[in-house]
Amino acid sequence: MSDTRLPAMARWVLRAVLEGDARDFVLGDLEEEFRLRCARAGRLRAYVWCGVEVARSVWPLMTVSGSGGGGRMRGLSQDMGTGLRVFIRRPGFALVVVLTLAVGVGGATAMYSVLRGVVLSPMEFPNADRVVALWGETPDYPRAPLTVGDYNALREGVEALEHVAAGWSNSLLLVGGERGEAVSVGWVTPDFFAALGVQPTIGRLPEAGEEAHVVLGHDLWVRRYGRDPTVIGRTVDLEGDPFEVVGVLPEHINVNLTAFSGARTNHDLWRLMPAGWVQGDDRSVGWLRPIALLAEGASVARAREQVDALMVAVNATVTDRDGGPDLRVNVTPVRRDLVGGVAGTLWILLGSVCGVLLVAAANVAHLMFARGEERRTEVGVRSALGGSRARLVRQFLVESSMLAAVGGVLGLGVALIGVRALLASAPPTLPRLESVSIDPGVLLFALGATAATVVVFGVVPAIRSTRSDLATTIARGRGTMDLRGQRVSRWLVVVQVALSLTLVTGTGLLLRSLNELHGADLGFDTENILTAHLQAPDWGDSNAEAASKLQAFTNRLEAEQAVESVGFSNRVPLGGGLYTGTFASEAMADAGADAEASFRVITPKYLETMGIRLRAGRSFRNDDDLGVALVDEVAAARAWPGEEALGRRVQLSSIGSDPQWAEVVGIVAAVRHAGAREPAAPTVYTPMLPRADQQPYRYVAVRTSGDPLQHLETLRTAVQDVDANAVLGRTRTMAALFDDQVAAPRFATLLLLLFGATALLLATIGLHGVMAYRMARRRRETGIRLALGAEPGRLLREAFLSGAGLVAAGLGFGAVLVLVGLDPVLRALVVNVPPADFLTVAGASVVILGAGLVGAYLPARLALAVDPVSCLKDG
Amino acid sequence: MPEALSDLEVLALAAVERLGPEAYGVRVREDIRERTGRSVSVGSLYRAIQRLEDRGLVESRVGEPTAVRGGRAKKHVATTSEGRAALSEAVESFRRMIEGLDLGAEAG
Repeated sequence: MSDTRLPAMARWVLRAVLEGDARDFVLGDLEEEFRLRCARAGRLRAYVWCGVEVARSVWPLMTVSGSGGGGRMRGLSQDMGTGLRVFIRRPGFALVVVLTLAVGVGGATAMYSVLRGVVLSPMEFPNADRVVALWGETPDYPRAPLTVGDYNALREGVEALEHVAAGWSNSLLLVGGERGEAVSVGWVTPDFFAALGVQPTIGRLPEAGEEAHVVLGHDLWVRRYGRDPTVIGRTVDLEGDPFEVVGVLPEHINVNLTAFSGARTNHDLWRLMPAGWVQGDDRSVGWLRPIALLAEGASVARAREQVDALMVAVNATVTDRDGGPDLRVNVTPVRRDLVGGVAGTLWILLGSVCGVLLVAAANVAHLMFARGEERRTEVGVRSALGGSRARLVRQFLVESSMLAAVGGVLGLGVALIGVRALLASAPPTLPRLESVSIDPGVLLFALGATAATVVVFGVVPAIRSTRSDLATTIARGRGTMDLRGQRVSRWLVVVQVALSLTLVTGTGLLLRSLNELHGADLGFDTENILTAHLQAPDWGDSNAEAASKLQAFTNRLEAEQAVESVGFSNRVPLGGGLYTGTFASEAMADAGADAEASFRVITPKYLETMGIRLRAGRSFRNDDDLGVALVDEVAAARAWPGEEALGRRVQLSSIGSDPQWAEVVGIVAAVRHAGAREPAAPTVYTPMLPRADQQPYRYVAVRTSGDPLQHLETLRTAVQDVDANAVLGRTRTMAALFDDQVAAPRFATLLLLLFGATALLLATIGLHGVMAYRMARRRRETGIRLALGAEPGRLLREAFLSGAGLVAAGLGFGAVLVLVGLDPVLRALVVNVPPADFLTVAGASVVILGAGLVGAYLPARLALAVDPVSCLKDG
Repeated sequence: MPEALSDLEVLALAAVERLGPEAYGVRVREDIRERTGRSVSVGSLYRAIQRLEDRGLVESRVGEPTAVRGGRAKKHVATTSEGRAALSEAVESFRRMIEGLDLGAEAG
């Protein structure tokens, strides 16, 4: 028979909410039907039924309106009224619980909402789950665009990939109407949209071969054409060439998978690449950014295997390639590719916010627990006066739920404000911010978790105290909290201190790392420099004409009063893009060896304008030909280790052209083109003027007196004085480019600082609470000891030391957490600081120790400032 | 004015009336489930019966403990004359509410 008895959980739950005859009737009904169901449908189903039945019954049973009979339950509103009075009598307690809940719930929800919007929620286009990005990887360049030859090899040789497509982007002048504007253009192969599964809202997509057709991005359609549907079929003028508009892409679809770095704003216009651009097996320039759709049923792993195998075969046949002969192609799911750089940071932040949530929950748990113990006398008296256990438990449950509800509502407020604040302070490089909103699931989870804490820790002491012998409870008066209770509260403090140490250490490390980022010597200046992509439709028919036009732009810009110097380059630091070649000293060339380098093609004043230091020799002159070159320290050390490089001959193999010898006329300081996180790559500089007509990119750098953005219009006008059709596109100050670099780490640091501070505050409150509570419990004992002549100093020391012991235990535990947990996690995030940095851990420990000791000292001090007589009377 | 009966209370009252002296929790819920397809939880029914009893519409007596109930007693309930009056009033007002409505099938 025993195996068909009602499950213990059901009995336990119903006993908590019912008493007396009612309990017998309901449990009897339940057990009778349970046995029936066991016999008919098996025990498992009966158990499930029973669980559901109990869950459905709790609320109705708690709200039974009773009449007569001392044990019957009273109305809910009466309990709430009692609760409210209790809170008003002790507002501090209620306030701390509610605020703690609000901070924990709100913070976790806000942070998770950002994480979900950016990382977890699906991307907007239909095939987002199956699209992969194909990046090249060489020892020097982890994220390299691919060459036409490699792209075509991938198109043909990988079974697991279909619709291998490629993109490239630039900015072009959209002429016509009242004013021209520089628009961002995505150039794609015909398969591109098929791979993404995107269809236009109106019109159609261009078909293969339709190279004079464009698709408008939604924003441009709204901005320039006022959502006019008749734009389909209209001709637009792109730098003098006519294009027919055939379609408009849907709103909110950002399919910009063509950019190499920097902000991923959507393109204004899409057009097909001329077919000739992507034919053949040219490997001299990596400029394509391929994507592909995984074939039906194919996994990323299988695609990787096949791509790896293919590239091994391809590399065996390749001798000369942009980026080097040893190329891997990484197959990355596109979502991870887009957010890859920030996903780690966001997960760490989420971890931290969970840490805060835990500290908050521990605080609430402790407060509720201590309070439950405190009210044991009250419970004992009420029980003795006929208050039933169910009645008392329900009273506690109602009070706890009220706190949880108010805390939850405030938490929602904190989450709403938090998400707005996060979005407002988020770096522009954080992708897909537009899809961030409050996540109701998370809010419920955070609320549920903390509410459960409140309820469990609020109710358990009540249940336990009613179970114990009432007479003893009352007789003990304000007797000491039982041992188990003390252990729980001590552990809570230790855990809080440990978590706080972890968070504060993490914050310290990020702060130091951020400091390193800001202080790092990049090799160029970031202040008062504007860079822009100078585009002009016509550069003349010869190099002489192109060079004189470059000179004309330089001279005209320099004529402006605010301009100090002007230089041109094929790439600007932090601007992304790749342009490599190989170089070799005479000794290396004799041995048939060479080394990879970034190639920068510059005009004479470029170095001076960018603040790139010349270590030895000279910069270029206007009359220099291709027989001279500059190398940076890194390249010099590689080609002539331990020797003087100035005056040596270097063989340069710039992509697509024959190797050429040049004399090293200057040594340049190392420049971190890709920012502080990447080491400086070897760099070779060649003069731009002798090849002014062959430049795909001409970036102009302008050094101004004061903020360059103030002079932007002047600069634009100056450029148009030289060529009315010339435009400055992608205008960025170096300060802004640098800011993009440090914005994400700064954002992460700011948040972690906030979390660390919150955790520390909560832990201090927690410790203070524990100590104050313990001192209050021992007031009587203290009074007796004082009356018997004990030295106050000694009592103070004792009390203080017991608190300090908890803090020390927490610090030890926290140090283990830091070493085991934090170290590997933070390695990805910090720059130039070892994660388990002793100074930082020590500093964080001192901060926490200080806060903890204040939390331990104040209550001890206060407890001793009492009159022994009144203590004893109260007792 | 007496508080109106909830629909669950009406169902419970009707079941108690039909079951006569044998009415108690399990039987009442069974009856409701069989006739209306509605699965009423133990707690909800207990609350409904309690409300009926508070208003004097049913009266209860404690039965003998049985083994199948884990040695617990049954709470037998029976309608009082006020209960029967309240039931017929509830049915009457319901009938008045649907009078003249064309619901596809006439209840007779």
